[in-house]
Amino acid sequence: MKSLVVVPAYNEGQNIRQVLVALPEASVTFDVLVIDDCSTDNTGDVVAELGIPQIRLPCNLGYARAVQTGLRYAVNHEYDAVVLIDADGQHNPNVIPSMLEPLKRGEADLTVGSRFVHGGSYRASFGRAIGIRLFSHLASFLLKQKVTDTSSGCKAMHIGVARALIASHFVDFHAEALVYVTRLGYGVREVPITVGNRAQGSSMYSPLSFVTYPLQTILLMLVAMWEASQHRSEEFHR
Amino acid sequence: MSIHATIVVDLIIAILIFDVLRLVIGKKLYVGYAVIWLGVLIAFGVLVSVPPILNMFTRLMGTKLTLSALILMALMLVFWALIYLSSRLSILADRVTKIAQYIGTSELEKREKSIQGTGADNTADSD
Repeated sequence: MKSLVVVPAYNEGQNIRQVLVALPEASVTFDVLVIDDCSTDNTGDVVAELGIPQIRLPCNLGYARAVQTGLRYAVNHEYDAVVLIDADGQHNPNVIPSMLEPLKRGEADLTVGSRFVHGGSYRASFGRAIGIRLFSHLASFLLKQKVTDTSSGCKAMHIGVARALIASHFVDFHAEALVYVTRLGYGVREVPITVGNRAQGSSMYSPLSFVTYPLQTILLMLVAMWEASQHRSEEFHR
Repeated sequence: MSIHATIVVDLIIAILIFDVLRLVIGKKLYVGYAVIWLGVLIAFGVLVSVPPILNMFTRLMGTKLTLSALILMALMLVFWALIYLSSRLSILADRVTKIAQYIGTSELEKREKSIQGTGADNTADSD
């Protein structure tokens, strides 16, 4: 299975080296692509120094658009699977084989690295924990299957899922993306992961996000359901 | 509305129409947007300047005072304009995204091709 690991990065000059150096330790072979989302620090230089291919975006597009760039690259270069991991050093590259395994076995089309499923470990702040739990319940209801971690940035997907996701207007590739791909008929499965603390720098979420994120995600989940139903009816008529 | 108020409003509308035309001539406003704004301004001017139309409009809006009807309409217009502008901004942001993704990806592909080219040259040299 020809796989591409996409690492979206914005101002992660202090963390990205350890992430990229640790990647070859995973026991499967894959290509790596960093999407430098127009960082203002030395992220791009660190990646170049390590000789890892990177797409340097000429302006800051945000997390989802950076991810979308990587997915588009994977689709255009005929990869079979894409793995997304964060550049902040919180995801252990050793999880990549277990993320890809259900795809290889045909048991799922999209795997989500969950911090809360049995075997995972993560301590979220009180507000964040409530948000994650709330969205997990809502997404479980819409997906008609139990999900525990809708906001995980660690995902692996078949190229068909990547193709479907780049055609949509998603903001964070979180709960709404899960709802969308499930409604399209793709199988989603959670894989336990261990998440460490961010080594340096700050999270991409501002305090205002705690207000806008839930509203945005709820609206996007509804849009995702509508988009998926439109897509399915188009397929049916074809 | 008093004649004085009507004259003031018409004068403001005339200035705004002039400004819209100035922006179009200076290529700072697309003709498509200018047509919308000119239409809105002219319609507003006619509404304010012709009392029977203004009275009919006030009854239509269900308000007792003419001023309330005008404020209500102005508010709706402002909301509509803001939603429309947000939509235009979203479309433009989408276009910028596509261009940025294209530039970034093309540059990587160009680098990859040049590396492959160098590799091929080296192989040829060693042969």
